[in-house]
Amino acid sequence: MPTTPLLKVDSIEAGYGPINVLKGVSLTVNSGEIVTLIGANGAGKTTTLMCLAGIVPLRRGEIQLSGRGLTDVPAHALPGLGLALVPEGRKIFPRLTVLENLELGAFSRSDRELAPDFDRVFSLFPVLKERRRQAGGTLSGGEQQMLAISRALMSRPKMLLMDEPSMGVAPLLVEKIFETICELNRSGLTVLLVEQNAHLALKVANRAYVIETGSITIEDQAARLLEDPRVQEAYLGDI
Amino acid sequence: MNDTEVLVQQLITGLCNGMIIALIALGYTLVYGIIELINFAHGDLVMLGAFMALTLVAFFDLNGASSGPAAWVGLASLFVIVPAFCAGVNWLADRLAYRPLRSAPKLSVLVSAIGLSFIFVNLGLFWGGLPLELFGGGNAAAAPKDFPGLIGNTNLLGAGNVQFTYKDLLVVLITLPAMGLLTYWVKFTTMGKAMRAVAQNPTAARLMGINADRVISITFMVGGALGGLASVVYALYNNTIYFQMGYRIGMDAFTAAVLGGIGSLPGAMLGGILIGLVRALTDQYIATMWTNVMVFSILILVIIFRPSGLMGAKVKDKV
Ligand SMILES: Nc1ncnc2c1ncn2[C@@H]1O[C@H](COP(=O)(O)OP(=O)(O)O)[C@@H](O)[C@H]1O
Ligand SMILES: [Mg+2]
Repeated sequence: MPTTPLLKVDSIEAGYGPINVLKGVSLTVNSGEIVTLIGANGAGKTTTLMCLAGIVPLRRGEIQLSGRGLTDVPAHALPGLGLALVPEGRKIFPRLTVLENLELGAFSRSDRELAPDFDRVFSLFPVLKERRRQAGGTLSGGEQQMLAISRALMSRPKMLLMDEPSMGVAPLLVEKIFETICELNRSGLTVLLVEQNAHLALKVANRAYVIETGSITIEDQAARLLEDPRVQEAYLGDI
Repeated sequence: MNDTEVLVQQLITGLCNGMIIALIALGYTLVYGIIELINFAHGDLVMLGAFMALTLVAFFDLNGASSGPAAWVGLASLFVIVPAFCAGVNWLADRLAYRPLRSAPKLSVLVSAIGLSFIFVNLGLFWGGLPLELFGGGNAAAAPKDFPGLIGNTNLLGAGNVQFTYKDLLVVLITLPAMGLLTYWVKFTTMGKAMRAVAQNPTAARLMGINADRVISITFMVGGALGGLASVVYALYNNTIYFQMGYRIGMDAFTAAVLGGIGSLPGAMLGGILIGLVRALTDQYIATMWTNVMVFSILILVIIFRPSGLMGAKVKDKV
């Protein structure tokens, strides 16, 4: 039964200066899925997510969220439509407290009833509660990642884009963060996950896309890609 | 006057002038904090505010002898209309001269600011030539204009040698609450937090749903309004305005902002007060001819030896 995908990306092109980094990327994410986009360093994963979030301008192609075209929607209007990005490198506000970072995550919401949302993220990541009065910049890499995820959740997104949540995070915390991603997904959140750690990403995702120099080259069920020799050779080699 | 009285008097004068400088320094530091631009036109904006104040004084027909409710309303309106005027001009400056250059090299924006400063100065010159009685009837556009002494010079400390007048009191009563309100706004309101977010990471701020352009506009307006408030207080305190005053007062305020640590609000306040004190003490104990030299020397020394200023000690951001 064909339903409207939550996110539909159709032949998008985007880049920096005269160069197109994305050369016609298409992908879809259905409601309730975890979809992962894997690929080598420099393949265009971050550019794809930044383009979806409206930060890198779209040059060609179309992006639809629940069937609504996003071409003329400015970046700052997207969280209000249910799309949030946990950016690469976390991009925490370093001199704002943890609480202030979280509050700003809810900036796009019209209601100011944030208490239930604070409770929710503090139960996901209790360490943030301990650190709530500390400046974001004083947190460890892993704690900052938890804060970045929580901050994005404060907008109550339908669709969460995540860019390399394992980058610069201690192994124990990576596990914790991926467990949380699965937990959030079970409670209804749809996730598009970008990872260099392909093994980890393919284990939690339903479906996966492989991007190579700005084009999607493989698309399949995540479990199947784990067994795919092309993927094993290129992205799972050293695991 | 004995030595102590002289010192106390200079401290009072220095503090009052310093608080005016601080209000202007806040305008530099707010804008620098959010778009890393030294808004060279800011001192001249304060000058335009002072001319606006004098125009209103003419319009309401206020003078040192005015009294009664109408005079009070006229006086109070200066504190509303002039800040609103300066907020509007600063907003326009950003829209027309800075926003189109948002992704241009920093130097382009800086040159744009210097150009705007020239435009403001010439507008001030033109304004001073208007055929109004108070402006000298259009004869001497460049001449300093007397600003009527609307606030009395009565010494609130009685018959002693040290003077603390209604004018000094006015400075304190206007500048301190303004600084307090600003601090509250930046620290506790959602818009204040959004402003700090844009300053710290504009991309992340947009990802939060913050319209960075709008926040920058608001920052210019807030900085402009503080400058406008400073215009009125300056004019009422010093009773003379002239079209080039923005240069001197802007230099003092810019130095104050750098001394305090540009980008830091408490730094701008502290820096302003320190520069006010340095000016007063140099006037008294060295010689007035050395006062500007002193301020410039501080500017140079701070830039060389402590570019982050007194309170701008940068927290090292973890990547
Ligand atoms: N801000 C930028 N300006 C210019 N080129 C960029 C910028 N960001 C990324 N690139 C280039 O775009 C390509 C794709 O980068 P990116 O999307 O970050 O890849 P990935 O996230 O897959 O590692 C790379 O060649 C990179 O050098
Ligand atoms: Mg990347």
